[in-house]
Amino acid sequence: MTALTARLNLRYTAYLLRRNPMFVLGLLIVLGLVLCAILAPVIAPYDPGKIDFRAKHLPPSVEHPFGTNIRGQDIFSQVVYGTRMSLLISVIVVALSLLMGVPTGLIAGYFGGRVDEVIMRMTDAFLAFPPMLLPIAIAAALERNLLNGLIAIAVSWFPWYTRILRATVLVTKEELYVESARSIGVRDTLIILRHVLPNSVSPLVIQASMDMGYAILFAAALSFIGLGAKPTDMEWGRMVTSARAEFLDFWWTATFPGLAIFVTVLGFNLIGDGLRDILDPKVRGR
Amino acid sequence: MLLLRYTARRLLLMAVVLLGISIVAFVITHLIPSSPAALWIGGHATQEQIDRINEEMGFNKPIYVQYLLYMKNLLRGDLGVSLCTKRPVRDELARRFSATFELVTLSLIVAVLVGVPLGILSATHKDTWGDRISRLISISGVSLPSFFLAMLLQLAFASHLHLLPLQGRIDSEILSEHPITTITGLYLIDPLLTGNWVAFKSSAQHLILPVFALAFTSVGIVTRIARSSMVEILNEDYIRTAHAYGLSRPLVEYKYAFKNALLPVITVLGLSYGYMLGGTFFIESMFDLPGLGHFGYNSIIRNDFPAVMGVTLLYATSFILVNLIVDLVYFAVDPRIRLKPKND
Repeated sequence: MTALTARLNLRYTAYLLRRNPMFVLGLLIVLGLVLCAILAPVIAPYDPGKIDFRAKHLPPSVEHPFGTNIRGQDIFSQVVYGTRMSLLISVIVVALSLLMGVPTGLIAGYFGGRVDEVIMRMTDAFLAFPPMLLPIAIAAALERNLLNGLIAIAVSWFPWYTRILRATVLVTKEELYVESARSIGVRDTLIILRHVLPNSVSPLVIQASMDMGYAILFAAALSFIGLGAKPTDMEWGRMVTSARAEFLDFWWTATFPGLAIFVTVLGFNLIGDGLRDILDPKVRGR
Repeated sequence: MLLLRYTARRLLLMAVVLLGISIVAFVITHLIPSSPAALWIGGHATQEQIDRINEEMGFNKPIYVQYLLYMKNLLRGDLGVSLCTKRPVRDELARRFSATFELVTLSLIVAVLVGVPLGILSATHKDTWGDRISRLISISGVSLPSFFLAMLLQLAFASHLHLLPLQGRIDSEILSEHPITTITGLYLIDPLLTGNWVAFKSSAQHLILPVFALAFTSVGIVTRIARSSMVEILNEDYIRTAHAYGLSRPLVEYKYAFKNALLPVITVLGLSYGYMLGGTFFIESMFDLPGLGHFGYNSIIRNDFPAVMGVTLLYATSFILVNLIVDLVYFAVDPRIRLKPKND
């Protein structure tokens, strides 16, 4: 991570943060979420799954800050516990995408030739689908649960990672230090892992940080069409969807979980934007 | 001539990508674990019935044979039969095309009309509060789940303020009193052509919220790209030169910079269109519009794979077509592309 660490010395960081209040806002949001996920049992006043029909559809109040739903469950507690699921979703989707995208991108970019051609034409077929359609189609084909939904999202996203990484690898592999490593007989695998990958990851880091948010957005969308979370899962999209029949009479049932999705995705987006500023000096100030 | 050759090359490429798409989509939809035959019969099917249907419909043939059969039919314009409605998928799609076409086209227009001015103003007023707010709007656009936005709009404008209808394509009472003569099949155009103002008003009112909900993401995308491309252009040497010559600011910004800043917006419209196609699944079902997305949503819920396949293919095809048009327009308006060596 040489390119990264070099830029991350303290004074420079402080300068960048001052210049970029939106990035700080994004960081605060995501840090808050992480804290919320860790401290969920402490923060949540009720057991999020506990059903109490006597307390159904209570409007927001001091006892129930976000009100209660049709089963009398405390929506605030559900939203708080939902942060755990959401962060898990982000990590799983992005990790799976990287797991498929990084090797294919490295191989296509570094070795070129026919392998590159095959991998690129494969990504063409994936990327020719409208963005949301492919995850829907794949998730619809698999057994309906959250993990399969996440796999579906990752499968339709990884070609982006392949392309992004390939593009930077094409440049990095021509660098002098790669050339000299090759000339003293270092093996390809070592060159790729030690020199090419660390110096090519910046654009991927930016993309991945944005995708952490989009993963939550897409997972929520899949839940909406019944391809994601189960009714018992503490997932925000599922909560919004469950409230579909009642939200016109009880506005709080859908509004708070929906806002949670919005704020989280916004946070990751702001971070991604800020990272672009920090890691890519070319666009700085735009 | 150059444009013609470019078009021919792109069309050929498109055919290859379409073939790839049809394979990917077919394999995906045929991985569905549930038995299509049982769905076809509905209710309690005996094993005997299932076997007979499997034989008749070819569900028990090897998957590549099924694909070849499917492609043979596809080339004759036959997309198979919907397992739920028992009608040809082609007819089901044709019946719903106009509603989706209307919704997506209007949303795209709105996205451009709102996003471009917002992005340009943001760039010419860079780092002011107006700029920050417009950036926040554009990031919000891509951060808000479309179905949740639809709910918020219904809550505010239909349920509380009673300004606009909650859902549906047109008021059914109005439709029965002022029937629409079908000319183009578009509920917004046909009443206009026949001077049926009552029906037009109802039809237009029903479209406002869905269009807003569907356009919002793209407004974000378009604003963002318009802003960054305008900022880049404003830093160009020729703009500085124009300023140095003492040309007025509006003249420089709108005559010299604006036109060039629009180029990247053209390319991002293709992507926006794709997002909107995906969005129709959510918006059309939230607003109960009789379009392709709603049909796709219902087909997925019911495991109706010929129908899912039909929607997928139609959407993917139109996405590719729109991107082709976008590229051709780009090629036509930006001479620099023609000079680039073609080793994309």
